[in-house]
Amino acid sequence: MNMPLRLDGVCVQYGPETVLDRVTLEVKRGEFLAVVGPNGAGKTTLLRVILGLKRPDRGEVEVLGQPFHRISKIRPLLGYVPQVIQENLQIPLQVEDIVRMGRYPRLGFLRYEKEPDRKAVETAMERLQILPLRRNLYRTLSGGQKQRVLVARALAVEPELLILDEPTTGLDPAVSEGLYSILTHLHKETGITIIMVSHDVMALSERVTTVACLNRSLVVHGRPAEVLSNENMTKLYGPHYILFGHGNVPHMVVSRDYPNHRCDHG
Amino acid sequence: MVELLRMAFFQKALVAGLLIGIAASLVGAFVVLRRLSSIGSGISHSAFGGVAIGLVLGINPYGSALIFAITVGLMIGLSVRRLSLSEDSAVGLFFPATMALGIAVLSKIEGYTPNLLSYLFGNILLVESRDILFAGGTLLLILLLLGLFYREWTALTFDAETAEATGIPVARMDALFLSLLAFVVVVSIKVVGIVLVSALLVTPPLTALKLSKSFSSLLLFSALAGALSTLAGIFLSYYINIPSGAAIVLFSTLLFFAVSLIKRRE
Repeated sequence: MNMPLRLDGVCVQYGPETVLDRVTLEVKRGEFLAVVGPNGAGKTTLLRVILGLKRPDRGEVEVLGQPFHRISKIRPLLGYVPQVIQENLQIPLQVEDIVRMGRYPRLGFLRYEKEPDRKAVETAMERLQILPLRRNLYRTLSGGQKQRVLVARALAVEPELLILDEPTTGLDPAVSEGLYSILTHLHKETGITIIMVSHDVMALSERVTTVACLNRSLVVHGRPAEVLSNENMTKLYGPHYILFGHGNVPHMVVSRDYPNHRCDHG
Repeated sequence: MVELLRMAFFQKALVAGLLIGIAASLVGAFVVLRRLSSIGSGISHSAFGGVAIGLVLGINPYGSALIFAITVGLMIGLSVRRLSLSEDSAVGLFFPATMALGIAVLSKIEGYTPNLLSYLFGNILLVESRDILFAGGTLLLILLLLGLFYREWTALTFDAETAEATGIPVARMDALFLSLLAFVVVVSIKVVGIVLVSALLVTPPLTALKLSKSFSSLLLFSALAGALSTLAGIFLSYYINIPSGAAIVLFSTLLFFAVSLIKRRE
């Protein structure tokens, strides 16, 4: 069986600026990896490399056993959930129309949907608990419901690798928690390999199997308990962030002496 | 009225208007949803350069306009992708350049101007049988391509990044769509003229958006609004003796405001 992802010394530059610097990372089958890091750390660029949308300047990329120049061959095996903000909300599409889009890469030349295609769409909606919303217009849904529709679209392809780019952006903590629960359940039930970029370091600590801390280069990579330490968070976010334990859940706060009392992670 | 409908020139005008009204509004639905209205306008004005070249070379001006419009459409698409220009900027670059080329070429024809108004503002009452065949062929081509690529165009209209990430050949689909758009623009010149053709692409779909609760109903209402606008415009043009292009566009705009008002009251 092919390893879902192997990166070896991957470098990406935009003009003179190095966005990814010698990133080496392996993701095994069934792994649930969270990629965390401050704004501008290269997280989205890393996803674009994995999706075959950005060619690295140096280094080797292998996704589901295929090198970078052949990623287009395995794209129908990738499920992708973008950030909420990039969709066209003017378009009058119903929930089911959007979930069915996930299936398009698997349809043949005449695009005829067969029973397995319909079943995959149904199952994806069921897993994300959006079956009662199937005839609703997407643009009328709440932020959390919309995000569940996009995850269902990614699952309808029956992917071998599910990639999510900050799926809880703009969602309140309760809705974010609901989405994380669905993803955790999905991972446990199906064993699917998941790579998720997130700012929500602490909420993920109990849910993922591995964490990769990225700040243009890979700062540290391993199991959450090994990775989430004050020392590593300082390397990642700077000296103004403090990590402390509360029950089983670690928390990260910003200290009062942070310049201008900024509250973002960047 | 019955006598009017018996006249061959009027029958031809109605058939051509109906075919072109449906064709333009079907393609226009994607133009509006993808916020490509300025590209539609840019391509239609670029056809002026093609018409001018055709007139100077003594070849069919519609043929040269078609080649020119497709080339400019593809160059606008290429500039957006390769030169990182915004769609507005790319149109702003090509629109005046192609108009300037048309003016420069026409200035070389001694004593020329009489036919120019019919290209700029259209004259559907001069429609010939071959124009009807051309319009019918265009509508068939649109229906065929919509049947084949409806899913791809819908997916990339909703969320182009995910469409590309999951294997839809976005660049090829865009090139095909822009070529089709150029085709429709050139066929529509006889009905509404270069100056007003973008209204035929944009206004009926805008009306349809007010009424639609699904994507298929958007296409249906768009085609109906396009057909109604061209047919009503042709009658108006005859009875109040104004150019057909202007009558069609004015009726189409009034229809939009009437539907908007009714929907607001509901």
